[in-house]
Amino acid sequence: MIYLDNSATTYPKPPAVSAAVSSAMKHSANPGRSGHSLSLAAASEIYNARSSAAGFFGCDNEERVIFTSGCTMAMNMALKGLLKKGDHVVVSSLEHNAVMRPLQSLAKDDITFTKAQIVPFDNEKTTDSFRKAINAKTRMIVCTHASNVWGLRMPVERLSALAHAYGLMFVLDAAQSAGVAEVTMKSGYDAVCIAGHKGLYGPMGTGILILGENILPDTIIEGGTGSSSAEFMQPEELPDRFESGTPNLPGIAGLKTGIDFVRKKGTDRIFAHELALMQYLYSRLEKMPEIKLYTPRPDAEFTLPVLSFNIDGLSSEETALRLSKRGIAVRAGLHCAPLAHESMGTLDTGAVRISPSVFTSGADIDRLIFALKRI
Amino acid sequence: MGVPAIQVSSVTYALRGQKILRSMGIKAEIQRTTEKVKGKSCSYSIIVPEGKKADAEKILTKNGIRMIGHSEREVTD
Repeated sequence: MIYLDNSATTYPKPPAVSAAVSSAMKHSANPGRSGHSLSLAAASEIYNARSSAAGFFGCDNEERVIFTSGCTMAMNMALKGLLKKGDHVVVSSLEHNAVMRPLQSLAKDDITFTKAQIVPFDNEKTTDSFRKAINAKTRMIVCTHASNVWGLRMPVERLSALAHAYGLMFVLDAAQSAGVAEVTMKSGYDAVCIAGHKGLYGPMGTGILILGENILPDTIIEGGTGSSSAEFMQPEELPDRFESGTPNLPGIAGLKTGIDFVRKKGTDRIFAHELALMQYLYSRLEKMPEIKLYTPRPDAEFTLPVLSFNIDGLSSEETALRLSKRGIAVRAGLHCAPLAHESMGTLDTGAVRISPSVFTSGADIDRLIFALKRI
Repeated sequence: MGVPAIQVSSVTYALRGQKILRSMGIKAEIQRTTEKVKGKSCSYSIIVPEGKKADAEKILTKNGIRMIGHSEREVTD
């Protein structure tokens, strides 16, 4: 199979990731709960993963790296833990439902949001849209680093600075960017939500929430942490405060190995490889009159390597089905991001998304083009 | 007379403390806290060599690792 659905989850994973998961399944006990050697070894494994993630994301305090079940969980923890009754939030017009559904749920607490219309390939106008959406009740800006549908990259460092200039928090959704673009806490983000199983090549069911200094959300889940057990109050100490229940050690061990893989390959090199593939694909697709493209040619400053399109006369799902029958895996529909589709006028049709990984080759893209010409 | 045991509230603090102390040339081992610590339970201790307790506590404090108690632990096989 030619797998071009890496924005959903990367596949295949590096063999070392599978080996780390398998080893953790075979040789570990419950971390941080007991004093025997297997438990201590497991705790050490998680600590090493935390340390590795902190280093990779420029976080000076390892304890502020919280392991979660995914980016969606991290985003729920950030939004529900930080926002208070009556707060207002500014979001981009490209947000995923991982942002929009928690915000919709928070409407019961009179928490409202305004959508800032992004302007593709124009960081000035996009930043200005955010500025205009801020009002007296605004407490936070939440923004995706890049659209999971269109690959459009947001000027998140500028938006973070904008937020802080107005005394607001800035929460970054790095689901699509971690491992492909630089994501560093040195940019001053207050919280960063990360998927472990996408650009970091970890197993599904893994994610990370990194909290900036002086940011301490309320908890949305409480329970056993293996520490301070005589107290019914949730511990204040990080990361225990946000990691109740037995951790997903096999997943975290795999995630650490995935991060090590990306670090060794180099985020810049991975990005350059994938972007070149999408630029090549774009140059071929724009010569096919039946193909409808929605975004400008992929560009290092303004896009991450994700490209979506449609074929005249075919629904996006039909195109994906026909490609699947030819052994090519892509994703169609709305990609859990109706806002992003609304922005491009594809809410009714969806789009066909191509998302490569470090393992994708030029020959894979040629096979895709060949297949598209025949459907 | 036993070896110094510095108690911290979580295994993450214990592991970070161990890493820092080792990087400063102080041998450090981690064990589950066996002594009763006032108002606390389920914690970990960093065991350091005799005579290194003061240095170790100073380093841990400087690195933001909150200690919740200390004791001396019998050396056993």
